[in-house]
Amino acid sequence: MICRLGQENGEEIKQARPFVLLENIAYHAVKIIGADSASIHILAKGETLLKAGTGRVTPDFMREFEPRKKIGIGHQALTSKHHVVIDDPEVLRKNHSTIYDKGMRAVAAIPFHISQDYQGVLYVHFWRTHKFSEAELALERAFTRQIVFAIQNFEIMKRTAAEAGRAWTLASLQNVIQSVVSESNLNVVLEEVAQNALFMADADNVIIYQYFSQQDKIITPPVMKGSFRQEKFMVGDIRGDENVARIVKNNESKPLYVNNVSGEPHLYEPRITSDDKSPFVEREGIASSAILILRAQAEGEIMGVMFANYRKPRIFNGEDKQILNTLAHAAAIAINTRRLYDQVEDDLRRHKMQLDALIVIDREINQLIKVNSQRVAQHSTVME
Amino acid sequence: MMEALISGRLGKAAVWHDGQQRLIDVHPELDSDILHEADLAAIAQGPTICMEGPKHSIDDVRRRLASAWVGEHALSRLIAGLDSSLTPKTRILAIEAAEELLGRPGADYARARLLGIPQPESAEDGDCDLTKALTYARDVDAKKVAKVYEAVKLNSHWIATVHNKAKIVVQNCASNPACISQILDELINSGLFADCAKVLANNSWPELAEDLFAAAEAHEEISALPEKDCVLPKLRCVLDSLAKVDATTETSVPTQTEDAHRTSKEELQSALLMGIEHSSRSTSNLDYNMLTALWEYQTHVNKLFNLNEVLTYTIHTALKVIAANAGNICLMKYETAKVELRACYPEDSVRFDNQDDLDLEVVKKVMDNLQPLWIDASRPQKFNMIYQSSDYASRYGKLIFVPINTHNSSFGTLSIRWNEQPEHPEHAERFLQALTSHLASTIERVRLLKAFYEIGPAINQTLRLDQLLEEMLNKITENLGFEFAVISLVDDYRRVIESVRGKNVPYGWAARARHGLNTADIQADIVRTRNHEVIEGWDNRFDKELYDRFHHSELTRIFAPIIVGDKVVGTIEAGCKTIQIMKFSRRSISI
Repeated sequence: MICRLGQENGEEIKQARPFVLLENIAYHAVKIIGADSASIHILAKGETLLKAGTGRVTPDFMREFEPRKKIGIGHQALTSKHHVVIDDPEVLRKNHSTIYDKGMRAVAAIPFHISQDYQGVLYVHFWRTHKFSEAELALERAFTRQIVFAIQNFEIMKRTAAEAGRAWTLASLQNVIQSVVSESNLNVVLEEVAQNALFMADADNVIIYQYFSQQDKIITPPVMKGSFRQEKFMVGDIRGDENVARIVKNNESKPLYVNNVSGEPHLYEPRITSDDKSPFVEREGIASSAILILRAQAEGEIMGVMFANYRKPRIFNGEDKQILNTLAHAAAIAINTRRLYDQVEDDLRRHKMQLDALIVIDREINQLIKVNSQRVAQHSTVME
Repeated sequence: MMEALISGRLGKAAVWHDGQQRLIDVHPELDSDILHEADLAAIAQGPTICMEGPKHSIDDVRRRLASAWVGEHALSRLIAGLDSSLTPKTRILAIEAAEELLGRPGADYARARLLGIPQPESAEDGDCDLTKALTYARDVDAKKVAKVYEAVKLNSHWIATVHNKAKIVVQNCASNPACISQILDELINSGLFADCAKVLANNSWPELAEDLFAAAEAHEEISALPEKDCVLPKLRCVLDSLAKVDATTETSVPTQTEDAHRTSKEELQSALLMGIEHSSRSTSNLDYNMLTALWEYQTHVNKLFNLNEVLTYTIHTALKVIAANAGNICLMKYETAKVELRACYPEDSVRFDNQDDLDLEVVKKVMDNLQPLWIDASRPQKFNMIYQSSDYASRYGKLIFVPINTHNSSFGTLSIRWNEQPEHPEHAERFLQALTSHLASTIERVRLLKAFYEIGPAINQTLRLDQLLEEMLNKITENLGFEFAVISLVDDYRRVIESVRGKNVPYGWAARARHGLNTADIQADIVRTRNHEVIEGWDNRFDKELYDRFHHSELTRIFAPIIVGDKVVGTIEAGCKTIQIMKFSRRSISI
């Protein structure tokens, strides 16, 4: 049935693939000015998200001749936010000999901005001598607007897909809340929190440490989710110069969302202790990190620390922060509840012991009174 | 006092009174009481019309005009009635009246009669009659000749004949400087400096011819300038330099004294100035008309979205404005890199059928040069006539090919054909260039709109893809009972397969599932083998990170290809926790 489903919808899927749409736009961009070929490159945060070509620019050609990063005309166009044209064959031969040798003689790179994360370049090529006119470039810019529309739709689709995943994951937050309320095993609750933080914040790994302020003790091993390169270092006592100890010591009142850990001294500062344990962010290759101090109340004592770590640089947005804050609160409440529970249990145990002692004493007293009464009775009898 | 009756047409007669023109109604049945009050008042001041020669009462004139108004040979009747009383001057005035009726049957006949030449056998003999008329006029008065020119010039198809006849007249009038200046006036009015100079050069005025050649050259150069206002001052400069010509120029002028020569030059200068001003005015009028036509054209084509309609309308506009006979438009088809005929009018004027090498050669030449090309054996060398020597012109008559230029390249040509010599070839060329310029932008607009029209639905396909995948995922999870499903698509350019949509899968799964098609990953393997697979737990082709992160160890999964023809465009992954009672049979996943 699944195979049949694929076959039934295959043709429509094939035609609706994003790169097919880009091919279509590139085809018209070529046709409108009588160019020989064109290619479109969509970049997401600097990385190629999509690309497509038409005419002589086949998929094989595009793989063979990737735009040169930082020195290519596409990069220049994106940086300057203005088209860049090389229509002097001699200049092309000198600076872009690979494509010149293939036969290309003129190329224009027209940049376009899609959204904060997405941008792109439309390259239009002539495989014969040609001088680009302003009017031609204006026409091509009209096509870049079509690309923007197309990619915005694609972006919406991707976002919808992501939101579906996030919505599905959010549903599991119920489990966390339920666990916090009902689960007596703190570790189970913290595991649930860490797992949700891993998925919902799309982190590479999540760590939750418990801290006891009275003893100034950080409990190891922490609760861990995600992938770790050197897990063995996560056990054993925490030294004062380790990341988590520094964070606790610093007593931050607000969460830290560190987009670039190399700029954060608590995370990247070399350790003083001479052992083979390098700083966590260094040994795990962490680029960004969210650090949340777990407190039962805003100004209350520190009960733990939660880390959500990323190996790729991440700019934390409001949504990330909200999710992580929520989960950190859940963890803090769980820890606090556990500790209150433990404390109440201790008190009850102590009270019971005291009661037991009192009962024993009472029994002893009664026994003593009884003995004494008997003795008084015996003494009275003797006296009589 | 009424001076003269100088025109009559369709029941109206123009009367000059004290230098002012008035119109009076003329009708066979009319009485004086139906004349306009103003006319009556005017008439009352001078009860008789004073024509040179015998005097006529207003009733007489009206009666004659009334009878002239009736029937196809109206003018000839008028002439017949007045003929006996006309002096040469009145005849000339009557010619003007006749020319008002030019184009009506009998006009040529009337013209001949007016000029006192024998009645032609038929109206078609007008050409022959004109020659006679001109010959006659030469003997009478140079002004008469000029008037004839002016009159005949109004009718475009006469123009070529007139120029030829003018040469004859000038040759015959060479001994009469005043006459020459008049003739020159007319020639100059027509912008035919070069023709005029040639005539003079052949008729013993070589130095004037030389000056006129210079003037002609300057005129042509200046005419090409976009700023028409430059024409007059620049030509004045030419004339100033002409005036400086030493009065003692060549005494080899055999039949003129020095004074007469100087006088003639002055007259020539005067005539030139007049001609220039006239030319400037007529140029403005032409330009105005053409600009109006262009405006109307642009307004109309802006509403068109069909390229064929645009092309057809363009040809019709061109033919109408420049009074040509046939036209067609060839456009380059980029897909085939060949020129093809896209529109023509009339239908049977099709020539460019891609079979005629010379046609293609002409079109390609014009497109390469980005300049109009005239093919006309009678045009001067200024025009590009590379095909003049061939039999091309004789095959097709007078042709102009105008490139349809966009930016710095051409994507086609508009070609226009005249059966006769075009009246104002320079203006026609300028108009056609302007028209093709508008056409180029219109074609671009239409093509752009067409492109956007085609791209538009494709853009929405992305959203449709989202909907389609969602429907598929729902079927898999709801109808087929799988706990989760993920669809991945192949990207031919990046040579990867990546998850694009999932259902009941954690956030991050789809975003992280991207694998090269040449890797050992399960998805890439499905694309290669085109087989479906059912896998429980670990498989070496799985991505370890994804496997651990999303607890795939707990899952049993199906991987199936999405095949179109012989190509795998994507995969479907579906499954559920192994602990659940779920049996995937081969039957359930195959057709």
